[in-house]
Amino acid sequence: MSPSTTLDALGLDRPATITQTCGSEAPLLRAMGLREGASVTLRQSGASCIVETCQTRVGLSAELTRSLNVTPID
Amino acid sequence: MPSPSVSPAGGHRHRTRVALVGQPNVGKTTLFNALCGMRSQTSNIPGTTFEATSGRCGDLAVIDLPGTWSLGLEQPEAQVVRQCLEESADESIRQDVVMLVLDASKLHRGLHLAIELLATGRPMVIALNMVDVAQRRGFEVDPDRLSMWLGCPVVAVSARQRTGLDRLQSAVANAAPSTASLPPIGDAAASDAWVDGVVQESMPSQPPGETDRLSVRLDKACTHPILGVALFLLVMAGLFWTIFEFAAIPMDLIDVIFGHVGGWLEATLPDGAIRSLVVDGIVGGLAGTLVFLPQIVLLFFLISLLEDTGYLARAAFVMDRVLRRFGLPGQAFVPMLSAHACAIPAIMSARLVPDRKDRLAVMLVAPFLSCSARLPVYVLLIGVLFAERPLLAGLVFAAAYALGIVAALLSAALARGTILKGTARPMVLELPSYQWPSIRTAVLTCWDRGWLFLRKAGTVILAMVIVLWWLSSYPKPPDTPVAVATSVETSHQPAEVNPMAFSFAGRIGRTVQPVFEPLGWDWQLSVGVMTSFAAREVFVSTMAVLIAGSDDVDDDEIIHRIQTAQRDDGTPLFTPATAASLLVFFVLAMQCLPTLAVTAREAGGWKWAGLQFIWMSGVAWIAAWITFIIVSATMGA
Repeated sequence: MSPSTTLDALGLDRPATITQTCGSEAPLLRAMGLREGASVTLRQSGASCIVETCQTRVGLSAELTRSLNVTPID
Repeated sequence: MPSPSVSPAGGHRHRTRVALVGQPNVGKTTLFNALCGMRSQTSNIPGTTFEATSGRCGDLAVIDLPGTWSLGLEQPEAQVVRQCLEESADESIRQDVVMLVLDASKLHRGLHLAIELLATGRPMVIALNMVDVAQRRGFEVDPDRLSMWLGCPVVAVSARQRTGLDRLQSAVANAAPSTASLPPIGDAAASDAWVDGVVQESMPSQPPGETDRLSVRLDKACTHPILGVALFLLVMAGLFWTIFEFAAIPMDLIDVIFGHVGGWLEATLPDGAIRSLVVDGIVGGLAGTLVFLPQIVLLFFLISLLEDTGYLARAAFVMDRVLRRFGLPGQAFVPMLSAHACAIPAIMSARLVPDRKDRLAVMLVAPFLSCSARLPVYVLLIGVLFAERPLLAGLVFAAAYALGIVAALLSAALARGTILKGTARPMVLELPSYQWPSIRTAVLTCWDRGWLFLRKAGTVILAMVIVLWWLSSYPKPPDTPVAVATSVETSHQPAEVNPMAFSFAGRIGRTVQPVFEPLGWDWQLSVGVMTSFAAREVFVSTMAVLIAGSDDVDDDEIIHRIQTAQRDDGTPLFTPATAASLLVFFVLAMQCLPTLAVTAREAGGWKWAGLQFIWMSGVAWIAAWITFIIVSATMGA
């Protein structure tokens, strides 16, 4: 099993499963579909990032991609 | 069937109250427009600072509540929805039926909100919107199976294509509290399992695992760190070119119509106070208000189109990294750009900013940006400073705009460090799929915003303009000439009494003159600045009346007389130092009563408008004073 990491450290276009959604914005992120168990892919990185989950593209500040712990899907 | 609410007086209201609830970007407002069309109005939800649009659809009274991702969030949108759905809700906001709008193409996410709403025990009906989008993407949702799982009526609709609306309306009659067996609220694992089961059962064919490819391709350009910013600047330049180009025609027309009406009334009504009130106060005040309408309507029409295409979310995305440094979110760019046309639509468009503190910061600083009303004043003052040097004049013009931008950004940063403490909320923004915009939605939006502006701000603005008319018209000067020294006349000859100088406004100008003395202004400039607190452009016409006895500011000779006017002691009225301090003051000061009225309405209280006035005017005074000292020292007073 791949080790858990944060979404920003995962690299672009690598699908992963969210293991933990942390931080003060966690309730909002969960409500938008970025919840534990959901598949997620980082599509654009930098100060502003784009992630894909559940057929939805979400724009996130970089600090929020660090609050998503993920396990890469091999 | 839910029974219609009973009014406090005991009489039955004949309409069933339906609350439209849903997550952002599920087509909730498009559905509301499809159901209610123009039979709607926007007003504050009682007891809140939130606005909601309500309308009629047959026997239904529908209210479009703010979009929320979940009922449990701390965001004000979620609080408002919770407040309206509580069993103990006040009669004025209590709803009979909840109509949850779900996006059929993103069912999984919407079902989590459905669980929360079904658990409230309120009669409910579900509008399964965007079934056409789901079909285009190769999958379908079975509304009957979904209804079985959710224990309430589910109707497949396409708000954009206006299909399924009659069935949806009929379904409200069958709305009842859900009979479904729901997972415990707060148990994330149980909720996920329940949602997975419902999606599995109600979708004969599963959705593809990837997002809309067109959106992915377009986003490569629109959200690119460099190309995205260039595209954004291009789109915004086009937006404002369109507003300036096309709003000018109806604005001129409004001017001409009111000019004719005023002329006709002046010729018809007998001379006296009533004629002056009607012509100068009411007609003049209405003209001054309505002239903003084309810009407001056009701005909201274009913003609605951009929002509908999905581009606005991308623009917020690319601007977020720039504005965040000053404590503002990416969404602030629309109000801040709009403010260069007029602060009123800018403040109204601040509602695009989702967080209340972020929104207040935007509303407070937007009037720093140079609006079109400042232009006549800039032209006059820069003409005084650099009459024979067009290049320098152009540079100072640009510097005036830059000063406004810097002041707005620094003020925002200061506000976020003090009264609106905190950083702009980190960006969490759904990037919806690109689509063709709905003209119908855009027309209904600009109709709604335009009407709201006329109905609310118009009444306040009109009242203020009438008060200003009274202050500048009374008391009337005595019939016999009295020696009152004014401007260009030589001080050796008795001048005719200037009505403006004799009026309350003139007297106030003389009274407050000591306040402006450190800035190098005499009583005439003080009167001009005082009257321009109603609207900035009034400064030029006030100076024309005071100095030349005419308000024909299009006459070059009168402008020349203003520029070469003298003070009571015979020294020039405008020196480089006074012109520069006036220019800085006009760039930074809050001199627009209509803007203050709109700030008070949008921010939820006059305290915000008061703060805006005090802060901007204080900054303007200090900056103008520093400018006066520096320019006096370098170029002479």
